[in-house]
Amino acid sequence: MTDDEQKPMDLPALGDERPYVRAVARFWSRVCANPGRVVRGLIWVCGLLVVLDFMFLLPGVDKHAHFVWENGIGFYGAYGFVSCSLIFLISKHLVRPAVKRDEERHE
Amino acid sequence: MNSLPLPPGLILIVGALLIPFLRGWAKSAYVVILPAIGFLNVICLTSSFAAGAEEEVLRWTFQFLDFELVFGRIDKFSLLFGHIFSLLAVAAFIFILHTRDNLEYVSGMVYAGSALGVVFAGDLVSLFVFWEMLTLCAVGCALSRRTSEARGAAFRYLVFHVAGGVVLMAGIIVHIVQTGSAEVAEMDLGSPGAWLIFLGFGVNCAWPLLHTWLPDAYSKAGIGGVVFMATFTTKTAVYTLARTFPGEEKLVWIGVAMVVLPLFWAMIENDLRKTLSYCLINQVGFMVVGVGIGSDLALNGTGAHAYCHILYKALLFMAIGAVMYRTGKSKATDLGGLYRSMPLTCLLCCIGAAASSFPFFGSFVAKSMIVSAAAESHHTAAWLALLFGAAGVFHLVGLKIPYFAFFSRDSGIRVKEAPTNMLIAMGLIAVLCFTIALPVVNFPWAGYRYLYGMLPFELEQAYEPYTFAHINAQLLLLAFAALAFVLSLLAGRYPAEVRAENLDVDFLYRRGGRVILDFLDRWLNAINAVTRRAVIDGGIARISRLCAAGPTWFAALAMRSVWEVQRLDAETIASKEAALYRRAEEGAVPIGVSAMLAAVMMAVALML
Repeated sequence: MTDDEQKPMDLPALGDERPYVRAVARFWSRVCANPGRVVRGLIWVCGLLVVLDFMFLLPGVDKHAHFVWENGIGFYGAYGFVSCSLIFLISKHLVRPAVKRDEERHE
Repeated sequence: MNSLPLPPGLILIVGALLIPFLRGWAKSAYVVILPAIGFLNVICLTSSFAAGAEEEVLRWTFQFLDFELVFGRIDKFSLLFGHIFSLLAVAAFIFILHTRDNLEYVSGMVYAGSALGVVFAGDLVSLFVFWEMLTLCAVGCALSRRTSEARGAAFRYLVFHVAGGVVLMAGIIVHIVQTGSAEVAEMDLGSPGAWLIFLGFGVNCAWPLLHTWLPDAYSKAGIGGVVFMATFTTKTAVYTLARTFPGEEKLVWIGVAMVVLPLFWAMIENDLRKTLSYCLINQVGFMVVGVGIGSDLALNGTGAHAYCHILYKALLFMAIGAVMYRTGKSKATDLGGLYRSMPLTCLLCCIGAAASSFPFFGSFVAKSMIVSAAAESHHTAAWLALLFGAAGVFHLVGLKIPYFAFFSRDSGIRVKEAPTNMLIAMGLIAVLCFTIALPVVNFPWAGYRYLYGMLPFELEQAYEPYTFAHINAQLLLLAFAALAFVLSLLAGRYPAEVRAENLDVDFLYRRGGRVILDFLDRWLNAINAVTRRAVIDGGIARISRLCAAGPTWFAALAMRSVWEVQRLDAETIASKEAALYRRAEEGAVPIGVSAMLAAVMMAVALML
């Protein structure tokens, strides 16, 4: 058992004895007890989807692309990654310094 | 049932008047049963419309002055919006069942009725009346939070929307005078009236620079009130734009700006309801692009996306509302770790987040129609912007909201799970988010074919969302967006949630307004002071003195000539003159002098 595969933590005092509430709480508890597994799972999913994208190179399997760049392997993945990275980089380094004001004394 | 269908908005608006007179369980039952009857009414309307062969039916028409008011313009487009508005009203009232707040109940009920009124209005006059009712009800929903912040936001909302309403009214008047028709029909931007109507709709649609009322009011409104606000205002604006300006190219670029710009503010916003509000503008941007493209596929996509977006955005606002109800907090810096205390709310929030774009959920079968339409119509830049927006909104709505509200660090807050009525409302919408996108055919009341069957246009080639290529592309986009989120968090590069107020373009209005006020104060008040000195203190005083002393002065001048002819000495003339002034003051001038003065004045007048 690695560090990030800890035993699910005991549920806190929910004060809610409904079995379905406790079942869902246990599920979340297990998920959150192993964040490393979630990250590794996500990386595996990304890899699998890129591999699946190679299938469109096979004859007879068509992407029905409107633009030529859609046919590039992993185009949508790269676009999603770059888009999100751009959003948080621009927000953090350009927008926030320009618009951030003190919460109590903003104009 | 035989008396149905009735005008869809009427049931809710008239029915709302009874709410304040009910108490206890009767009030609770009434506010759920009434919108349920409203929904049943729309279903009956749909059935009776489907039974006929016409493309459009006009019902409930009345003559008012020179106008024919149409309260029932029934076709597939109006029925689609009527269906989702009335359905959402049922869920929203279940959500606020515990409050028994007359202001929230009446505002919400009339709000839903007014939105249905706009959707089914066939003429601009009745549309305008329902449009303004939307504004008043939204103010009621904002005020229902009963905080000073909410009052301020409600006032700003009112100012914005009354200004927009005045512009719309001016546009409608000019349009009717120019064309002689009050029909809600397609227009082009060739006349001032059409431009004003376009702009009036744009205020409610939260176009860039006109959008600040939305995050301001939605983040400060009541927990239930915001569900009504997020559902009705912007979607009725999208609907009216689709009715009046389909294919207007300017809308494509307005929509692109709506899709891209709010994401940067949503990213740094600490208040989760504000983050949701910016993401709402982003998604309305998709619909505006769809209207701008104007093809059958794009307009179908707009309708379908409005339907699905109403569902999942309401679910997300409800989930954050439930968190607020239990914790009193909505800021990311104050929350975290709530999956322990509110596991079901967390699950329902995650379903709402997934419904924003994941395959097998609502938006996947809807939003993609608009993206495809942009590609088919060769709007390459718009297509790239929509893809950017789709990835960004998943990053924010799909990951940021659930992560900071329910996971993230443990805030130490331990509360009860949301009340049962809230869970039922959220559960109902979560089920709908899922069932509306199921890849099943010929399944009653479910499946994407059921949704597509409600869309306004028959396509030559049916749109098919569940292809291997589309699913893989969408999953790639989302998975790598999630990877960017996770890696930035792990690397400590993700913008930290900090307690701060982020300025929006309303800063320009407020700062600009102050500059204008200072300018007016300095220059106009200076002109005012100079004018006062010159006219009131100077000119008018002189005129007043002249009017008072003038006749005596003229009389003395005339009499002096007479006295000089009589060869009176200077001392006598001076004493007579003094006596004349004294008598004039006392009002005791001799009749002869008055008569002579009158004769002189008449002679002067005749000469002139």
